[in-house]
Amino acid sequence: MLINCTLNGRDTAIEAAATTRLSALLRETLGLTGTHVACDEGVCGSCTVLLDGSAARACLTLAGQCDGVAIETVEGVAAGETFETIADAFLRHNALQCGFCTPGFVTTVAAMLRDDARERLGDAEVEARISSVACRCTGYLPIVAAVRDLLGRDR
Amino acid sequence: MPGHARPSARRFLEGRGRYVADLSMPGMLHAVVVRSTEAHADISVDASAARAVAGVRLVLDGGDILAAIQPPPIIWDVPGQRRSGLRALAHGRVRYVGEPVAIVVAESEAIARHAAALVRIAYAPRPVVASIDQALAADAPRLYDDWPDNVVASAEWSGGEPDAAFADAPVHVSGRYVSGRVSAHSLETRGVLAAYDPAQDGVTIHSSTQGPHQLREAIAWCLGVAEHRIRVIVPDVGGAFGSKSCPYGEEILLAYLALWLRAPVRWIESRAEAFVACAPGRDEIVDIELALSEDGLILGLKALITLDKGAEPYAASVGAAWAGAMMVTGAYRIADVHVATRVVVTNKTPTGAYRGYGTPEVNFALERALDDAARRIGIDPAELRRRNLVPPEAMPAPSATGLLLLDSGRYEEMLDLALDAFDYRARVGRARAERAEGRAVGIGLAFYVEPTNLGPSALCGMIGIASGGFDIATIRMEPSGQVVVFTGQTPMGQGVERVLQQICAAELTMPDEDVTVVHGDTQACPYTAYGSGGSRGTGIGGSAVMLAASRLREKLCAIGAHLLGAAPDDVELSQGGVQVRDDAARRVSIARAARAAYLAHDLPAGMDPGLDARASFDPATLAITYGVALAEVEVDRETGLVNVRDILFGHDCGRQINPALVEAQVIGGIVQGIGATLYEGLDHDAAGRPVTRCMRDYPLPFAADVPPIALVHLETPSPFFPNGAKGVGESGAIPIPAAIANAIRDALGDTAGDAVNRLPIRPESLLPS
Repeated sequence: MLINCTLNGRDTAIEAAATTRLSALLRETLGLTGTHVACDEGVCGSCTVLLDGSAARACLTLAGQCDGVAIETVEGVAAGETFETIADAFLRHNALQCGFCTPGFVTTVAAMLRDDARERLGDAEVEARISSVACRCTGYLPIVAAVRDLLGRDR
Repeated sequence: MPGHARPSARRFLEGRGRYVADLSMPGMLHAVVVRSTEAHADISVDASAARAVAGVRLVLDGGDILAAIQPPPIIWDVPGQRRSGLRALAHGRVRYVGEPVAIVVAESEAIARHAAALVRIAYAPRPVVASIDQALAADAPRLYDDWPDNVVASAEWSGGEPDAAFADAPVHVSGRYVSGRVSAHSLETRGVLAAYDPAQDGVTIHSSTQGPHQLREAIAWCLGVAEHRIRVIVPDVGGAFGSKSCPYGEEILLAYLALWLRAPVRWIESRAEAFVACAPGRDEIVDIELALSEDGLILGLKALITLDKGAEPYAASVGAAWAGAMMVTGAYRIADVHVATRVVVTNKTPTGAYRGYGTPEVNFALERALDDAARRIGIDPAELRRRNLVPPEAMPAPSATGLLLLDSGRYEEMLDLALDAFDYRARVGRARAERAEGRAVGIGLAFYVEPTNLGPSALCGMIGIASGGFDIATIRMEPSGQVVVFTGQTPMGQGVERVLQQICAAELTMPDEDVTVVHGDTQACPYTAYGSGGSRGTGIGGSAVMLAASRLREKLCAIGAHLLGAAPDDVELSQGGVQVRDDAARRVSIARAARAAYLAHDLPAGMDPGLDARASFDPATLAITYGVALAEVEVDRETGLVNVRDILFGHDCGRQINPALVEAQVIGGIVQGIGATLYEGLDHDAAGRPVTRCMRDYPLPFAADVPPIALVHLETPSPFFPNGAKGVGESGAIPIPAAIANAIRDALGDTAGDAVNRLPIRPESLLPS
C-alpha cells in the first residue's frame, strides 16, 4: 500500500506492505539506521520513535498504521530544537556507553520534553517512562540523572 | 568538549552509531542459520526444499563443510583437556538446542528465513544430560562416544597442609553455592558481514567482536586461508561483556561463504537465537569448606569448582573454572588451601566468558561462607573479614596455591572507608530494630578481588592460554603535528578509545582533540595478544600507548633541540612545544618539529625522516583490583520480593585515568550483578530445552529496579604498570551477589535456608514452604 506520512518533518509517500514493521521499514527501506532493534518484541525500547509526538515501539508498529501519521526518528530529533540540551545532558552525565539503546532514550526523552513534562509529569511517571527502555551498560543511574537534570528536578 | 567523559559519544545520541546491522553492500546476500530444536539427537538433514526456493543461493549442512572448515582452535587449553571436534555446523548428531545445523544464503533476509523453515531435520532422540549431577552420574549418557565420561578436564592445587589445618581447627563451615546460567545480553546481538575482497583474493569480515586479531587467527586456522588475506574490521560494538570475546562458528561460516560465493554475505543474530547460541556465562557450583580459629582467623580452605560447560569445550570457557581456582582465596591470608576444578559437558548451549569470568562464582561462595562463619563464631562479619585481610606490607603476596599474586592494595583501609561511608554500625543497629518490629531488613557485605590487566605472556603460556598477554601500540605524528594512535583494543562502550587518547595527549603535552585513535582493523592496527577482555584495555593497551608516545616524545625533543641549536638533554616537551629548560624564549612548537621531521631537510645526523613510534607492553604480573560491596535489603514476607534499599561500593583500580569512565564501569557492573542476583536466569526443562527464549522471559534490570548506589574509592597505583592503572571492567559484577545474598540472609535469619546459596534468588524461594 502507499503510505502517506510525515517523516522527520517532510511529507513522504512510501510504498510498503501494510504488515511491514515500522522498524524494518525505517532501517531497510529508508536507510534510517538510528532506530535500533534489540528484541523485536516490544520489550527493550531501543526502537522507540515518535508517532504524532508520542513515544512508540517501531517494532510493534506496522506500516499500515502509519498512514497520515507524523513519524519522527532519532535522526529527526537530532535535527530538532531540543536536541542540543538532550545531548549536553547525556554527555555531561556520561549517560551512554555502547550507544545501542541510546536512540531509544533520546526519543523517549524528547517526547517527555514536548509534553511539557517539567510541570505535568509526576516523578513516578518520569521513572516509568525511563524504565520503558533497556540499557545493559550504564546501570541507568546516569541516564536518570541526565533526565532529571533536563526536567529541572533534583534527585 | 571539556567536562565530558567521552565527547566522541555524541554520534550515538544522533543515531549515527554504525553497528554491523547498519552496514550493507551492493549485491549483499543474507544468511540465516538453521538450529537444532532438540537437546540431544542423531540427525539427518534434507535441504532439498530449501534449495529449490527462488532466490536461495546456497544451503550448507554439516556434511558440506567437513573438508572445508576445521574445528576451531581451543583458546585456553588446559592439560588433558578433551576436544569435541565439532565444526561450525553439526554433522550427524546435535548436542544442544540452538546448535547450528545448516545455513541458508539468499538474496533477501525474508527469502532466507522462508527457506530456512523448509530445511527438514529428522531427529532420533538420545538421552539428555541436563545438569552437572546428571553429567557426573555413573551411568550417565555420554555426549562424546570417544570420551570415558562427561568430564572435559579437571585439576587440583594445594598449598600448605590443608588436611592438618582442618583436623586441628575448632570451627568448620561448609556449603554449596550455585551461580546460575546467565546471559551477557548485550543489546546488540552478534552480527557478521563478510565480503570477498577481489584485490587480495581474500575476505573482509565486519564483526561485532572484542578480539579482531583472535578472530582473524581462527578464520585462518579453520579455513586454511593465509592471515594476510583476511581482514577483520570491527564497527561499533553494541555491548559485549565477554560474550563476544571468542570466535564463533558463525563468523567462520560467513568468511567461508563470502570466499565461496565471492559476494558479501550478512548474518544478524535474532534475539531468540542469542538466547540459545550466544555463549552464556556462569553455571557453576562451588563447594567450599572453611576451617577457622575461635577468634575468626581462616586456617584452611578447601574448594571444589564444578563448571557446567554446556555441550562442548568451546574456546576459552574451561578457563573460567581455572580462573576461579586462582581467585578463590580472595583478599585473605590463608596458609593451607586445597582447590580442585572439574568441567563437565551437558546438553546445553556452550558457556563462555561473561563479566567476571569465574571470579563472581567463587566470590559468591567464599563471601557467603565467611558470613556463615561469622555467625557461627559470633563476631561481626566485617570484623571477621578485617582479621583476615592481607596487609599492604605483605604485598606482593602470593596465595598458598601460588596461583594468585596480590600485587598491591590497602584492603583494611578500603574496608574502613566503605563501612564509614555506609554508616555500617548504625545501619546494623537499625536493621536489628526493624527486624524486632517484624520487618525483614538486613545488611550484607562482600569483599572482592578482581584479576585485571591480563596478563603476562609467560603466565598465559604456563596456564595454557594459546596466546600472549601483551599489546602493541603504534603512534604516528602527522606533518601538521596531530597524532594518530593505532591500537588492537576494541571500544564497546567502556570508552577505551577515550582513555588511550588521554594517555597519548598527556604524554605529548597536547590537547586531547589533537589525538585520534584508530581501532578495529587488523590491516591497520597492531597486534593485540588478547583483545579487549580481562579488564586489560587501560593497563596494557594504555601502557603500550604511553611507551610509544614516550618514544615519539624523545624523537620530537631531539628534533626540537637540533632546531634550537641546543643539546638534546637540555630541552623538554611542555604545553605543545619543545623548549630549552628554563628558557621560554628558546622554544619551537610541536607542529614545527613535526614538519621538520617530514621535510627532512635538516635533521640530526643519522635520524630517520618521519615521525612515528611503536612500543609493546607485556606486564610482569596481573594487577589485582579490589574493593567491597555493602547492601541493605528488605524482603517482603508476603511476596518474597527483595527491595534493595541501598548499595555502597568501594573500589580501588589503581590510578584512574578517566574517573567518570571508571565510575561508569563500576555502576554498570553493579547493576548487572543485581540482575544476576535477583532476576536473570537461563532455565531449562528436564529435556534440556531452554525455557528462556525471549527478552520477555529474561528480566533484565530496568531503571526502576536500580537502588541508590554510592561509590567510594582509593587510588593505589599498581607498581607494575607504567601508568599505574589496574582494570575495572568486571569489578561491579563480582561482589554484588554475595553482598545481597548476605543481606537477605541477615533479613530472614535461619528461615532463608539454602535459598540464599543459589543464584538467582527468586521471590518464590524466599517464601515459607
